[in-house]
Amino acid sequence: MKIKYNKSRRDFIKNSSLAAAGFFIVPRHVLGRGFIAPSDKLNIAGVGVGGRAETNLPKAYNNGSDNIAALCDVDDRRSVNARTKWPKSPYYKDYRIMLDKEGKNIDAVMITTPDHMHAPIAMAAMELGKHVYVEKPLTHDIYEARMLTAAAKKYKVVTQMGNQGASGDDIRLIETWLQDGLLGDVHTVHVWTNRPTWPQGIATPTGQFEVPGELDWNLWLGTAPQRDYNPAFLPAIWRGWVDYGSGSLGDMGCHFIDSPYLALKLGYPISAETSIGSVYSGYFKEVINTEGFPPSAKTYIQFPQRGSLVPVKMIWYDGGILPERPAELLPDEEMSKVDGGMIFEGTKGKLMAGKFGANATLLPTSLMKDRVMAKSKFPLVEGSTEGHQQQWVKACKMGYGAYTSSDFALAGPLTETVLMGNLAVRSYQYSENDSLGNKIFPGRKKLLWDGEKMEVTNFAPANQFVKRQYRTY
Amino acid sequence: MKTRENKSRRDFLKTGSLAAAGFFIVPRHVMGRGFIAPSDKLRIAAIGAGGKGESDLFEFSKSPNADIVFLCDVDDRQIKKSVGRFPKAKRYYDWREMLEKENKSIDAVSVSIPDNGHAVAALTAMQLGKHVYVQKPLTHDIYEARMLTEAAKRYKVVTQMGNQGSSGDGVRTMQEWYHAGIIGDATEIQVWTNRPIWPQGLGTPKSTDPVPPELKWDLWLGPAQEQTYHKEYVPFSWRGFWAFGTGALGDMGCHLIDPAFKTVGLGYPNSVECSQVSIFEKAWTPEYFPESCPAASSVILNFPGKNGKPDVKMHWMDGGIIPQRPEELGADEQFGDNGGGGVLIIGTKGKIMCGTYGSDPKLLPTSKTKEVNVPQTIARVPEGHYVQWINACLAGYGRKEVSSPFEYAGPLTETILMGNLALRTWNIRVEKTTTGNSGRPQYSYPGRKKLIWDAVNMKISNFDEANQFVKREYRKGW
Repeated sequence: MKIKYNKSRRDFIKNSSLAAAGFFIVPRHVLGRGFIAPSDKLNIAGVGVGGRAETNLPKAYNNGSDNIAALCDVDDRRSVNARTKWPKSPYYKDYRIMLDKEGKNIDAVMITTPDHMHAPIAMAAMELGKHVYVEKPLTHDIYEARMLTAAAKKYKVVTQMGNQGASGDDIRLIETWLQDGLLGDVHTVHVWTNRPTWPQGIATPTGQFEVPGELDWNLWLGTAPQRDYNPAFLPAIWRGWVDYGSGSLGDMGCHFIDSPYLALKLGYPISAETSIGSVYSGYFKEVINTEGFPPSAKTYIQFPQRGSLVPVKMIWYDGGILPERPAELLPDEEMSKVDGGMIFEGTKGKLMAGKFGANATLLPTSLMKDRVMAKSKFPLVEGSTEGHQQQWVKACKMGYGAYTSSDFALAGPLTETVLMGNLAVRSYQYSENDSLGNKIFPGRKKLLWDGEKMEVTNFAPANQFVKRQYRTY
Repeated sequence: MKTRENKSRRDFLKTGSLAAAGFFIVPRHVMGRGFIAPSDKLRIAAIGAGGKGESDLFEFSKSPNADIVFLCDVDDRQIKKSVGRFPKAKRYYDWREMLEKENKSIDAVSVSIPDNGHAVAALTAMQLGKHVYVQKPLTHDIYEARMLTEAAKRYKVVTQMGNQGSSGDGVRTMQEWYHAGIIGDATEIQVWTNRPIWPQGLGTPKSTDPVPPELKWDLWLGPAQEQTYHKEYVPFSWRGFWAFGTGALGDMGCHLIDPAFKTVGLGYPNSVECSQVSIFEKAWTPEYFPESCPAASSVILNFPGKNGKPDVKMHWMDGGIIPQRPEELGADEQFGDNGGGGVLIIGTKGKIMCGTYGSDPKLLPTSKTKEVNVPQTIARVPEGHYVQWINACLAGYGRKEVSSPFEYAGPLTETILMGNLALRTWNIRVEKTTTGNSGRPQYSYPGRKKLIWDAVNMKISNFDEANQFVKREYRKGW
């Protein structure tokens, strides 16, 4: 890992020279503040302070038990609420300048930006010894997830990915039950979401638009390739575009896959295979827009034997396509909750649950009648899913080593798995021309994955999706 | 079934009063020509002579025993090629008028029009004692398929659905393998198509166009309810609208499900469930287009096991979603046919795979295909699907086998239409009395469950609203 790590550092340095300078010049011990007495306030900087951050920051702030010490957003419209709430906190547009100027005044950074900026910002902060809370998915690329996972250890910072379900009671219950053998050997997991709930599989937005005065478009693009401003990308809809987002999987995968990932100790997958909902603009005119994610997908991700745990096949469905109803589920019983769900199949039974593992039930559901299910053998998190941010804040004060529900050691490999699905989708969309000039799709097969090396071994073009090129900006 | 048959007859009588008159007044034996001496030619009238109708007629005309005697089409543009090919054939716009005026000069009728008009045209012709060749899917509604199946028996006419693959060698090879027990008993069938390969699921077109002078819109609608003309419908994309078509299942289901249906010997399903891709034109609020067939779907049917055999589950996928590649298939081996679709029959002892139309059947692993040596027990159809029907018509009812007679094609079509019933039921929504945080209306979808099918009575037994899709209302006057 050393070589790769160095390479990563070089990559990030190119892009965050301020952070890099900090890393090289300032000794570790003067950067962060190390141990903070629990009575002291944690000084938190928010990067990306609108949208989801309007939940994250107040929960970290916790009515003033901690400080929101700095704010950063590339869009003044999105930051209005945060700036109103914390008028004294210095406000920046460029996170690099913020880290440079405020480095000594902050202990931790909460990152709630579009996916493509998660890793550059998180890495820059970690290099400065800051604890980080990063929204899900942890990163845009598999490679970045690996790098952040290593960096958390290297810089000894407290980390948390923003999949708040990981702090829930339900995920601990499922982990307890599955590890206690409730279902026997679990061999298949179905996971689905109703996402995308925004247009996907559409043509890339075009046209000339004036950049709103409140928005620094260059900074919004960050490491992404240069593109003219288009209002169709923001806010939130960037999720459907490969330069910025990571589609349905990126949006909801970390919420639905984390429970099986944790309970079954899945680790790196060994293969991925997908098919996607097609899009046609006219009779026989298929449109494959490789700049965007498809309207729907069904993806098979295979995990190997892990010690005494049998191999697991995970099947992911999005865009409205669902798994088959389990035979044990009565015809009139509801399977699909609004956001999606999960079904575990083992040698001794099946378990169905909703988002974050909620309302878990054995199948047939009659098995739950008068049954006393085991209590969680893992400590519950104060506030459950709603305590996810505060758990991190408190852990930051205790210092590296304090437990968080979704630290990068767990969230990194989980995110890699989620992103494996996207790698398969993008390989499925990948085309070449054959010798006769016909479009062919050589990536439409089972892709074999070498997790340690981060490499698809039977289809080289897929590996371009492991790690993208950053723009210098 | 007697009551239903009567009801059906009444329904059709209302619409095809000419046919009805014929049925009631003229004794059966003078209506059709019954047995035709082999030296005679089969006089075929075409209902729908463009597009697939055009190629159907061309295929019929390859037989020296066929005469294309009348052409009927509602669209001057679509019929052009056929008129050029069969200049002596008199042309009609309204098939009702054609059958009335030319009854005595017609032996058989080919129906190749949008799905919603198949049944009424075919039944009228059958009531007049005409043999019929009807494009797939046989009908638009389950009820219609049941009626045509009965009618074929009742009127003793030679019938063939236009799923031409059923006359191919592939499905016969698969049957021979299956009957020889090579894959044991089938427990699961996976079927997929890349259709729709046109935009679908996007709601009623917004275009406002005058009806082109070449098109008789009222006749094109046939028994469909009165509605505004949109240029997108004609000549092809009507397939994607429930008022006229039957979506990807109707388009390709008869070609793809057929080989499995025949090989395994399936009958009526006893349950169906589905899911389909959602459409978002703007963020957060899905579009609601219940009039459109979906852009992609997943349908699961269950067939009760017969004679102690296990139940068979059939999983249909369209719009790009395909099954997982079987373990036995090499990483670089083709799955199904080249992108169009495929069929996988999973048995207790092995697997059979083929492409659309039953093409290129293989045992898995594919190396096994050459290793097995099963004797040929089922006659091949070297003359092809079209000529087979012509020869059977000339021989007379019950004298020669055809590959897809309505007694087979009817239940096959019902199965396909069961999938559509589920897809349409999926979109039944009920507005909730409460609204969400957004203030937008909230809906529940009570049909999103497993639908239990009582095949004998043609009825969903656990969700009555679904039964509206078993049989639709015809337009007044039809």
